[in-house]
Amino acid sequence: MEPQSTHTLIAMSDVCQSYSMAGHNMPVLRDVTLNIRRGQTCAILGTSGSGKSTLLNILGLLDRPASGQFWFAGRNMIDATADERAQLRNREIGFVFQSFNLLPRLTALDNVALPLFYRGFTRSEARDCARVQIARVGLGDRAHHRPADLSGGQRQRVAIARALVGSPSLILADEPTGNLDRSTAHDVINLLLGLNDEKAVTLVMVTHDAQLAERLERCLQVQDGILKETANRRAMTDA
Amino acid sequence: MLEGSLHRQGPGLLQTLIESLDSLRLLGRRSWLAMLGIAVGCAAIVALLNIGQSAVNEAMTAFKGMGAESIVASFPFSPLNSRALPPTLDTRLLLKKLPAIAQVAPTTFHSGQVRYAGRTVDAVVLGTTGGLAGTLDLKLAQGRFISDFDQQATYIVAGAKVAHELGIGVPGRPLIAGMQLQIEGYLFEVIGIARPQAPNPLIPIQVDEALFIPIESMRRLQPSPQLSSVIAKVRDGAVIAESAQDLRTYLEEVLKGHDVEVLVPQQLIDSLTHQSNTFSYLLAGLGGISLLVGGAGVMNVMLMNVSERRREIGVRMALGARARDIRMLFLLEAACLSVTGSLVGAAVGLLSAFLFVWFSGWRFTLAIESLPLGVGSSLFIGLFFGLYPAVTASRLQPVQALRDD
Repeated sequence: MEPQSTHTLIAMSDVCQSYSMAGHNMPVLRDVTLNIRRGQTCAILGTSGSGKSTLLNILGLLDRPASGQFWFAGRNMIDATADERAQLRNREIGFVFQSFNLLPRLTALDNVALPLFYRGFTRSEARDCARVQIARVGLGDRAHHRPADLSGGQRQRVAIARALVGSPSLILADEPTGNLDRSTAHDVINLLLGLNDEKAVTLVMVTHDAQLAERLERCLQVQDGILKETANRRAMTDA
Repeated sequence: MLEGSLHRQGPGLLQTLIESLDSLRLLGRRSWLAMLGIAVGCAAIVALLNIGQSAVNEAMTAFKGMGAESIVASFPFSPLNSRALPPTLDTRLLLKKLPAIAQVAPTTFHSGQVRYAGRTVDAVVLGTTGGLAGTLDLKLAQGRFISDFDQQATYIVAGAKVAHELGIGVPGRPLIAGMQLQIEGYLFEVIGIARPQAPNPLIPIQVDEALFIPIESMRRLQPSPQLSSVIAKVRDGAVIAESAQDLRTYLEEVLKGHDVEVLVPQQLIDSLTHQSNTFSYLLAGLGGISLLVGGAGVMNVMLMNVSERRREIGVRMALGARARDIRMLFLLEAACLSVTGSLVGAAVGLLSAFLFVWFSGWRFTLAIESLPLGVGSSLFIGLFFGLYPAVTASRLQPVQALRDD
């Protein structure tokens, strides 16, 4: 399979992944084929154990598929070395985790600046960029707080600022509202969708919430390692 | 700004160093504990080596006081050789020929009665040169010892016991110029009284019971005085056996046809060497154990560090850290801890050794090799035990490191 046009960010075909457990080979993903264009919003739904986290790890270049083809931003990810994948993660992908994954000892500002550190920025350059992002998510006055001193919603907004600081082309959100109450969750989702509107950042979000999934353009269902696309209202109107 | 930096690869060394230092600062107590481990190990080595060195020196000094550096040459009577021994020896020539000898004194021997103010005492009269004071560590209570310039002068120096028996230099009758002792009809002017000195089994002279006169004056007491022994002191006690052989060869050459017997305090030297070796083994053992304990502590802290920060490693990897970035971060943390710890340890070790030696009343001797040894080995241990956790951390798969548990 050739890499598609420059509009295609992710091109995946026949991807399989399995884990060996107590000597048995447990298939987790079976022949997953998926294309995502730049600027799309995409929800991944599925019960726990369905394989959606594994899919997200492969999409996030944290894990390498056992077989199949995978092109990310026109680059073959099957042959990529660990260092190349690390570099692409740094430049092209922003992660938003369910449990925030902020470093507890760093201030909010330094947490946001962290990806730029691995890009060779000096500390002051990185902090300048981080300050812009943290103001954008509305936490300019909390920049020097540590994560422990922030509420759940504020922490997730810091995490989103961190995901954005490197101007990625893809934001991968793994149940970003899973640890938040309803109204805070609403704010966070609005923030993510707003970014997609504003900067045309591709958004892939894993969620349990079918209602939430409806707000995204596409909706993918993972069941027992098999990926199925369920048509969304917005996707149909798009077409 | 972002675009301009796209071709840069990873963080620079300086930035990683700043990051490591920050990370250590933020780790707080844990860093202090790791540093303490290294510092204690290093301090233990430095302190032990310095205290040990001072102790060895102290023991050496004690041995030296017992005459471990003295050689006694004597001339056994031989019926085959009828030639008489000379009355004296050119000490200046001997010292020039044998640089290993620090001081030397020939002695001739006469025993007789000494009279002073109506008292008569049996005493040993030794004809000798000024060098004897140095070879025997002889100290004077009053006056001076005979010198090489006295030549044939009728001067005399009295041992403490003889002086006491004769009643000179005692309270009420101090030594004054012109006091004269009578030996065999000759008058000798007393120029000094020796301090009491414990008898030394290695040297055939009882200082307290002897009287000392210039060796040339012996002719007044004996028609033909003969050399009875030569006492020498070497510069370096470690090569005393060789020096003794040199002295023997020299004397045999000078005193043609006479047998020369040299005596060195071999037993003393042997136990000195033995003791010094024992000290070294003891110190090496103690230092090694303390370093091992310190090193295990460091590794423990570093490993805990890695397992506790697994999540952090995962997050850093997700954000774009390569394996080598993670490894460098942890290695630099270990290096900072080791450098600071070992320097602090060296300072603390030196200080405690100094205080220990000071309170023991010894003299402090700096064991200079202890500094590179202590600092170097604790640096090595810190880095060695820091390397393993660093490599472990960098081998983690990002997915593994991020997993909740």
